[in-house]
Amino acid sequence: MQRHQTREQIRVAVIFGANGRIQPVWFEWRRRKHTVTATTYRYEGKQGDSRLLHFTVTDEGGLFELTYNTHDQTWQLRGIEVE
Amino acid sequence: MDGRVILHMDMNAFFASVEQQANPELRGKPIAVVGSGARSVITTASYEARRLGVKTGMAIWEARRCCPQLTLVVGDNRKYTSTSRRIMEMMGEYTPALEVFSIDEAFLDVTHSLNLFGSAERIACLIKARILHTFGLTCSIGIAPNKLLAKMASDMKKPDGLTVIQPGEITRTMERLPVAELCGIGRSMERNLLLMGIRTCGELGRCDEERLTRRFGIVGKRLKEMGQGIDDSPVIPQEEQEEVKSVGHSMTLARDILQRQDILKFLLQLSEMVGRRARRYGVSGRTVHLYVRFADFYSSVGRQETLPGYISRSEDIYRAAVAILDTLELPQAVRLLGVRLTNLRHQGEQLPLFEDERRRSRMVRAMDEVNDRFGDFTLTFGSLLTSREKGSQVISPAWRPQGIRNVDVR
Repeated sequence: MQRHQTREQIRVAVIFGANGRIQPVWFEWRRRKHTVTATTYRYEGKQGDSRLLHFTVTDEGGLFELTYNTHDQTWQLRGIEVE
Repeated sequence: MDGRVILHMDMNAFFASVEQQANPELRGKPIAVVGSGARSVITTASYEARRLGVKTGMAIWEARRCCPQLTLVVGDNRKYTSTSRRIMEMMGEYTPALEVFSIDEAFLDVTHSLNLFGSAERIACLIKARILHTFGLTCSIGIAPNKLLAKMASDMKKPDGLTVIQPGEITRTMERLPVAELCGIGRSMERNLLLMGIRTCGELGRCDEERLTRRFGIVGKRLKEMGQGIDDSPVIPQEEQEEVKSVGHSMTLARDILQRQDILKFLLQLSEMVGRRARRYGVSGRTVHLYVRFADFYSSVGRQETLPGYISRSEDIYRAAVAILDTLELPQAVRLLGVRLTNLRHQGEQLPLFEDERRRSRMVRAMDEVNDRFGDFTLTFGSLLTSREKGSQVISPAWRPQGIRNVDVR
């Protein structure tokens, strides 16, 4: 597995659960739609006064870190680990 | 259990378990978490790696010799501090008497929570189940009448253990337990006790107090009590802990440096980190310490300077640190630098009298406001713009989830 760090704005489809829990369902990266098979870890961080929600998710072939900035409501792809 | 009931919670191979949870490919495999720098050592290893001899603090080549199939993962400190903060919050729901001991350990005094939750064992099971359900992580919990025994109990079964030491079992438990199992007895003390013919806690507890005091001074009495499993120290929640006496940061450099200009850049960065934290929590200090460790790792020098007035502005801390640096002889290249502000008082900056000073204060305030909003080092000194890694890269043992000890890590 090779790990890369990046900072790319991406489109993400999510389910906002009744308990306020956010569940990424799919995301687009390099013109390809990746279906999330599992969210393996989630944690919160801060960048200045912005709250960042980090999700580690898997698709069929890799592991991705998606970050949601609750202040400006944008999604970033921050890390990729693929075969 | 009569009297006090203390729980000690210890996360199992915390950083490595978080990484294994985040990446299913790593589960069940020997992995080790390392820092991002070239000089990094093993921060922690998974149980699979530990079984093969990989230990915390080992050099990477050493760990690979023990375990050629070892997978190295560069640690993500924000992931660990965030997870720790949430785990500590969860535990705070069972008792307000929660003492965060380190990023992955805490003491809980549940004496007054038993009526609400039934028993200490039930509280322990609830905590374990919630941590497992929320994060997929395991922890070991020890239950005992005091902190010393609770910590010992949590060490007895790992991973995923739950050990109870009842008051009536203390003497039997301590009898054959090696003294090194006691929290606070390091290798040097263990050697000294061995020279006195003391190997087990039972032997330590029976030892003549005078003999121990002759050898170790006032610690002798405490050692005897430890051997007997006696510990009256309370669980101290963060808000009742003593005020912080210093604000400091240090960094191991990516490469050894000798040029003054290079050293100054790091000193400015450290001064900004110290100043930012001091200002954020409304403290200023009169004494600035500079610590330098040299390339050979073993030699170091530290010096301090007490100033006429209290300071918290980064440039004032920097100026004092540079003044100290200029009094030092640097016989070899520098490996680590540390800056610390002590002699603290809890009062922000005094209103400066002169216009020039007032302008400086306004500038610092404006910089702080920008950095509060957009993140540390967003607006910084021009000479730091080329520095690649800025901010704290390691989680200090003094890290706490709240207050002045809560350092944002990268």
